[in-house]
Amino acid sequence: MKSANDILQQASSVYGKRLYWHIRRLVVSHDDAEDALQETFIKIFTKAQSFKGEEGAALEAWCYKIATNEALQVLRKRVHAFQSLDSIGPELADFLAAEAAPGADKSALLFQKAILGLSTQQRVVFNLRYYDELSYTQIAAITGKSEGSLRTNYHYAVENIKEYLKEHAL
Amino acid sequence: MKEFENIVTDLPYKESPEYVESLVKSCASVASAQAPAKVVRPWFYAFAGVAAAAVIGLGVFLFKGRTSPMDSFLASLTDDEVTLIADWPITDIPEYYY
Repeated sequence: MKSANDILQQASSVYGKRLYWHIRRLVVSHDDAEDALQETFIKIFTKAQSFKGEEGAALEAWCYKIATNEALQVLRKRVHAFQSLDSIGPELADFLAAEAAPGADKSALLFQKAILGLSTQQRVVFNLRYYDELSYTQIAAITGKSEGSLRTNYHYAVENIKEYLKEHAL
Repeated sequence: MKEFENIVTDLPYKESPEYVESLVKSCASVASAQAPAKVVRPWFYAFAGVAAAAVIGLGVFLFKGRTSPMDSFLASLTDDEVTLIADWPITDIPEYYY
């Protein structure tokens, strides 16, 4: 059985960069992403003994699950009382404008805005599937949703993005 | 992925891969240094439980048999005073008490 240090080492060296970008795509702000990544690594370390899965895919899904929860936790702190997490899109779009690289491609920015307009559930599924190229089985392990509903989420996410891009003449 | 092939889907952020790599290493080393302080061992719960039980037990032992301030007050009253209180005209109580 691996020690907590070994598991943290593997998680950070193998999945670290992907976890950062996964969190960043969800929270948009770099500072928030850094905080969430830090918390993710602390959780991985402290809960390493409770990780019963095999290495590889299971460890990857477990790390992604923790990272997703931490990212959503950051977003929950941003929404006001009685507001839905899905209502945070416009605020994140403002972050996007502020944090984009100078001279960033306009279509790339528009694409990200389209993603930020999705519901949180669709956004998580779309990012994991499109950018991280995870299988629906892995995404199901991360989100706790059935593969069928994830396929539906992804389908509607793609449709919504296409519609947004069409409306904005791209 | 087949979708959005004709669109730039790269992330528009300025952080370079090298920067992200060093950030990840830094976060991991900070996490491994910070985390042990956050790990609460089972013996800590056992110790805290015994300490709490001892404090409660001591409190019960010290205060056991003590009369409350109200009991002391009532015991100090003479028969006349008790009668006076018992005969207090209830109509004198202001309305807002109801």
